[in-house]
Amino acid sequence: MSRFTRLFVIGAIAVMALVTLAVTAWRWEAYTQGGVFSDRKLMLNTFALVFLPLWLGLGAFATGWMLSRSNAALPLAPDTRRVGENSLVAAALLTAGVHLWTAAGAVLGEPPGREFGGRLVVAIAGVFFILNANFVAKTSPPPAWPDPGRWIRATLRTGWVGVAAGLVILATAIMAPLGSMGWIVIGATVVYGLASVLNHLGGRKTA
Amino acid sequence: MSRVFKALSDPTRRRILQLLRERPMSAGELAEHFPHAKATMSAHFAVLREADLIADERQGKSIIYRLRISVLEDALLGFAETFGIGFPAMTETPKEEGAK
Repeated sequence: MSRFTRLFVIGAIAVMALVTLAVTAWRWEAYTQGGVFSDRKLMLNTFALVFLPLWLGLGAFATGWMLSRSNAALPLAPDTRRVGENSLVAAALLTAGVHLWTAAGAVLGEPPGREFGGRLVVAIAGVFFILNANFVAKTSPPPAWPDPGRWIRATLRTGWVGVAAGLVILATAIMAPLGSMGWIVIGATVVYGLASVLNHLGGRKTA
Repeated sequence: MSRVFKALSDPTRRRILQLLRERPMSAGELAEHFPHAKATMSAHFAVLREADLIADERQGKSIIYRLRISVLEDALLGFAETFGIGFPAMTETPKEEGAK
């Protein structure tokens, strides 16, 4: 992972951690005066504020592990590395934005423009999925990959699944009821993640 | 994007992309599937390379071409194939016919 990407992600996680601490301090009274997780909204906000930087940290760790897996036999191609790093930076920006919005919700009692904001966040996530998946399909196999043809077909399949997942998320942002949006987004993300892993493993097989 | 449209508008270039979907191939291997002259094939490869639909890599004396296509470009390729955009391709060579 490049120095810039690492610093960017660590910076985003640090900012989110500080915001979480500040919000917790701001709402301390609500937690301590009988409000400890009895208020569902407060509980969800706190969970999201702690969860988002952790989620980004785990994602960055997994991506960093993948990018640094440069054992002499299978170093990643430069464009694959570039797509991975750009995706990580975009994900950090998106997560930090959502985190700030959630933090504002925790402070004000309700996120600003709750429905519109929620739909906008989900729509941006959908566009991110589509762009990421579109370019994932264009990445090159590692120079010593056993079967480059299989890699090409596997990444293209992964890309199609990712674009479909992104379109589902985008449609969800526009049409689905607010309550069910989260589940649809999680479902689409899991499908894309599973397809990536399965296709990656399938692409490794020799002909 | 106009380079991509230009590249996909020709049936020979689309056939090259379909062949490269199976595996990376040398210029010579690809040329065997077409009745065109070497110079014509080189021109097709150049158009595809300019549109960033294929990548080339020199291996010894030969150039190996590899597919490098995004999902959107793949969708456009499928669309162009389905609606037969461009003139009919002369994709099968006498050599291939004989092999069958």
